[in-house]
Amino acid sequence: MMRTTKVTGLTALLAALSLGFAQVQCSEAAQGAQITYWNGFSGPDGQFMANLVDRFNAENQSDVQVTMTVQPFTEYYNTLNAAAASNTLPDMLQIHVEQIPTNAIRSVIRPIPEDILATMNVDASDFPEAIWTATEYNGERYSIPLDIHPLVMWYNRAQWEAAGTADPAGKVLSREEYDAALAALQESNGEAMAWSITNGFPITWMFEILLHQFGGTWFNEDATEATWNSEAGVQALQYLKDQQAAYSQPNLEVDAGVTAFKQGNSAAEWNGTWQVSNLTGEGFQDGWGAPIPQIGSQYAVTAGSHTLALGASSEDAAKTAAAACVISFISENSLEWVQGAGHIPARNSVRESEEFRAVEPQASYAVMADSAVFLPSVPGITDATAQLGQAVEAIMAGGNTDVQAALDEAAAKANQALEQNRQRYGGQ
Amino acid sequence: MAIREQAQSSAVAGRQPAQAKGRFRWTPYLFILPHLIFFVAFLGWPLFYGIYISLFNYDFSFPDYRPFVGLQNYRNLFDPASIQFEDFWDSVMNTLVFVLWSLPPLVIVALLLAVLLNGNYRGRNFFRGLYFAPWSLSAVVASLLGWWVFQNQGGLMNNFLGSVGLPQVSWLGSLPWAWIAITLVTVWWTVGFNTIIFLAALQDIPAPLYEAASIDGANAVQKFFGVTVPMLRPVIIFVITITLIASANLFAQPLVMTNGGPAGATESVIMRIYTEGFGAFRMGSAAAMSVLVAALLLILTLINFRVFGDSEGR
Repeated sequence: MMRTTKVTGLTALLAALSLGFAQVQCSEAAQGAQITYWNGFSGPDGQFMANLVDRFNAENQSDVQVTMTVQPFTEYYNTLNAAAASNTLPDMLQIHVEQIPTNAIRSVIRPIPEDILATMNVDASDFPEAIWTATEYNGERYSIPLDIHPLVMWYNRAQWEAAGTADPAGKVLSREEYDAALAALQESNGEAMAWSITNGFPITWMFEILLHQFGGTWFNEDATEATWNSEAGVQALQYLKDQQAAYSQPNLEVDAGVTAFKQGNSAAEWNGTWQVSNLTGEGFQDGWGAPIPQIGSQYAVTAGSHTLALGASSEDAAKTAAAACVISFISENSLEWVQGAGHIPARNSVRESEEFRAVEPQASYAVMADSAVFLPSVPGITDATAQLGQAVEAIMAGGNTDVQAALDEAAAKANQALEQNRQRYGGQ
Repeated sequence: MAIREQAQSSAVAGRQPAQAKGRFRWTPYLFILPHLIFFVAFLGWPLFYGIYISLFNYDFSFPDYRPFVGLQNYRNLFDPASIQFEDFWDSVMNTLVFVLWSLPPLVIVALLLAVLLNGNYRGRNFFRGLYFAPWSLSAVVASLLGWWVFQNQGGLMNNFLGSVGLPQVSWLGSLPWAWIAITLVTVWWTVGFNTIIFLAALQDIPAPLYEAASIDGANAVQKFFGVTVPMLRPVIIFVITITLIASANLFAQPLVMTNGGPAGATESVIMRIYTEGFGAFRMGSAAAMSVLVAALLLILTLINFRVFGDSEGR
């Protein structure tokens, strides 16, 4: 018995080695380059990125060596800006999609040169259009998207089954179906909440998703004015407020829904893809992920994305070529990344592959990638959305009850912030 | 009083002969030099530079656009239509609320603890160490522990309340509970420091004063109010002042425990300044806020000295 396991283990290892050691060939120019790579993956996801980097270091035939450093996310963009000021940026770095324009204009990242881009195995046709354009700024390509991460509806399978509701895995529930499920869960769940709705993170994200589902947008066409105080915005916020009253405990603080969910105190929790190891499997046996339901008249989910870009401190040709080679490699192998980190692969080819379809629960909510919406590509755009967050949280915490007035006020302040940023960063 | 007379007489005795008068002496300046260097480098210069950048639309990593705006950053703080006005003054009020919550326990509990720890009994040093220990934690660690105790879903506190049949409370998600939680964590974390200061001062109170009080028939409570408190007056003012400033600098506890919630109600002014400066890269505006807060603190400190200060007619 012992012997057979050993032998099978060895065969498996050999197989893995021969398969795994696909040869990676970088361009001539990259030969022997030593490059640095920063990201903010300080959670469990950091290990999966580190594994990819190790694999690259072992497998590339061009003697390229990557040194990866994890900077905690809380200070990540301040660290990058300080490094930009002192010209000590890494050769390549991870950047969130909504931060691209701000950090492009602040000379933290630089456009990927045309000739280098041509050597990379990335093509517009392999990505959803929204994420492909969101990673451009001012007509230039600044980064390659690795994943797409909207919120996911994490649900307690045991409780949904006990309530007699159909398993939502892989399905976008309609508003009627979701309402019916919540009512049934409320009925069968006793003390536990049917749906945990906080008054801190991720409530603003939930609002943004519903805003788009009800046909609204953050901003007008050229992102000079906030438009979330539209009819759609009022509907979205009122919906969340009503559902909170009906199905959730009031006064849940930041991410309290996650803790509630893990203890079986909530049957549904909308939260980030990155919660996968926390809320499913070893983290929580009953937890599983499904797409966010369609509450409004159209299907949309606002999303973030981890992307890879070039640091702006140095334009060394060999390092640029090497960084491009690493970015290509990680992008091609994004399956490994999302497997551990929970996100949806940005590449259509990876998302539609047999291998990814077997990755659960990621495959169960991957359908959202085609409906993902991203913030417009404008420097300092998050200064405007910060105002929205305050208004949404005030309404959900009950400190403010006039939904329209709260959204109007936030829009007026956001318009000021947008105006100031136009002065600072120039017309676009 | 005896101490003061002694100090005066020794000063008289130590006075230099008249011939030294008028000659410049390096010695005293050399003595303060080490401190002066650090003071200028880490307090004087940053303060000056802060005032300087508050006059610009300053952005440390975007030198392309850095116009001089005069007092505009200050004007924004007094203009209800500006982006800054409401958030800034809300956070100032939040901070004052916290000062009111935290100052009395941090001073009174520390004083009572110091009196208890000043007694003569076995294990005294053990307890001194015990009450001081939390102070050695970093702010984030103390706040994280606080989060685990008070968080809404199965936190230690709610577990305890539940097990004795009391209603559970959304500690970090509603008012005034969020302030109570933050205050309890702050008291637990920092009360040891004030205690040590009081303890040292208690040991300086001459024993004959207590003996005299005992002979006059004073009980323990009378001795506390009749001897201990008056003798500690200068130290109490000192402790109130440093606690006031420490409380006004509230940052890590709400950042970690509530992230400023519910709906910004526990966002302290330092958090606001941080968000303004490093979140939105409006460092000129953030510097203006800092200068204003420093001025407010100065006024509060002066009031403190006026109210609790000398009634000795100096």
